[in-house]
Amino acid sequence: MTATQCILASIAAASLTLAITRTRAQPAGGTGPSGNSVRSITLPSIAFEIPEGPGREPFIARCVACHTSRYVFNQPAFSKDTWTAEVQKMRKTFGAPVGDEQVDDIVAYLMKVRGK
Amino acid sequence: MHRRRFLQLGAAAAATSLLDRARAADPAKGAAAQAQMEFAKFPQKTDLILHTDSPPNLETPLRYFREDLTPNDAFFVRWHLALIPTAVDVDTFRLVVHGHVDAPLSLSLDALRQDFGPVSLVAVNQCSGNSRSFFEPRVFGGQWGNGAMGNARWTGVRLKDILGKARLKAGAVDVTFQGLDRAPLPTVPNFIKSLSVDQANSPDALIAYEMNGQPLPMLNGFPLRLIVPGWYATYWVKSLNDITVLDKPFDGFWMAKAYRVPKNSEMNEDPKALAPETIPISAMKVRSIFVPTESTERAKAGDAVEFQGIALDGGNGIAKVEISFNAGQTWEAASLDPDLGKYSWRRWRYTFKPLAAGKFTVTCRATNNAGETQSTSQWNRSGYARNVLETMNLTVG
Repeated sequence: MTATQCILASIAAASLTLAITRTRAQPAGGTGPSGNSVRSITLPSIAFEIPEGPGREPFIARCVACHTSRYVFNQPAFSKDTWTAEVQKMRKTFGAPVGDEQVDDIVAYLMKVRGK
Repeated sequence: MHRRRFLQLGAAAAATSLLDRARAADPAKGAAAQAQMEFAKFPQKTDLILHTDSPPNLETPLRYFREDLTPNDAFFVRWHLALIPTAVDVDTFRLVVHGHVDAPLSLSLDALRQDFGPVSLVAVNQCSGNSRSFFEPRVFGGQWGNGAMGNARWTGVRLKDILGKARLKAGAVDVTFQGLDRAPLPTVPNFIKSLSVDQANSPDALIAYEMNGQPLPMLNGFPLRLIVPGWYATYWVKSLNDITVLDKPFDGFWMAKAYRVPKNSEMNEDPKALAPETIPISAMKVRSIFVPTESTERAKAGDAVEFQGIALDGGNGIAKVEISFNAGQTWEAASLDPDLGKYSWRRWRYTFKPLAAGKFTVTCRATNNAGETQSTSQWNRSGYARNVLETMNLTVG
């Protein structure tokens, strides 16, 4: 298992945990496993259509695992240098599972949808 | 008198000033932008402006700021990490206090209510990045308008009482705060904030279990939230369940790398020459905003128009708010509503009667009790602590 695969596996595990949490969640004020003492909510899932474009697949696989694509689509248009710096920040500061070979494709996609 | 004012306004139309350099936040523009925005309804919340759904980041529409206390269901929501708490067992939940202490604590919600005296105060909770979308050049981050804040009455226990019961050991330096949220990847730092021991022992820092007399909504930090009145909301840790006392300065990501501002009083820097030194953001800068009302939305010649807004600062309290119809050449005093406490925002009003149809540009400016007032231009790389003078365009029909 490569380092990237390992990280992806942990994302999958984290996503699964989140999915379980959501499935278990009860309406506010509902009852849980230990009687009436659990307060819970169920988060809505709000659909968002990610536009087509070169690099869309790695963008979805590597970025959207941790955060909604809305983070990107809500941003103003930025230059290629700025987007590249942001991808590097996500990799280096937040440990995003983006390999060297995927950076260009992801930046190309970001430039297509929010480039200037 | 009204005629004179109207003539002044006409002359002011062509006036230019420093204000023109800043891209002022025009609520009308904001409303237009909001019209294109997506709204979403989350549990225990009303329809709010959707920034992101996972994790949830939701903005309060400005009309809710017509109320002095922001309703819980309209209060903005801001989470950093993908795994946020959606269920809390109020019987088994514990707030733990440990680290460099003589008497570690594990407190149930009942114990917090029974063993410590309740305290209430009204305080503004404002995101560091509130109004980020108005910075020019634009910067990365949540593209908030003015709605990443709210004013509420917080009820809970004094943080210093909790720390007193835990008996800090000599040499305690920092206190860290963490909630139930978790990072989606081991490489992503968990959200942990710190205060110095002195700041943590300030009499007004609370651990709140109520907001406006009700339990906090889950998305606003149920069951406990750290309240650091006067400071930006990044310190107001939600779903707080861990307090750790350290005998050395805390160097975690969310203090050492994130939520930092240029080390100068204006928190300013040049986009082409970033400040060499940054420090953690802390107390809120004085600012005032307009709150659109029916009066300003439907202004008619010959009828009185009431401008209204809110002003806030980092805890000195608001001394005055002034209005200018001529881009800052002259200012006139607005009236202030009753004071709800030095950490609350303060409502201001200003009435005038336009005698003819036309367009007016109006500026508001707040000054606090320390004599601090607002910036005329401001920029920093993260889009924090916005306090530039704001203008409102008024159309009189």
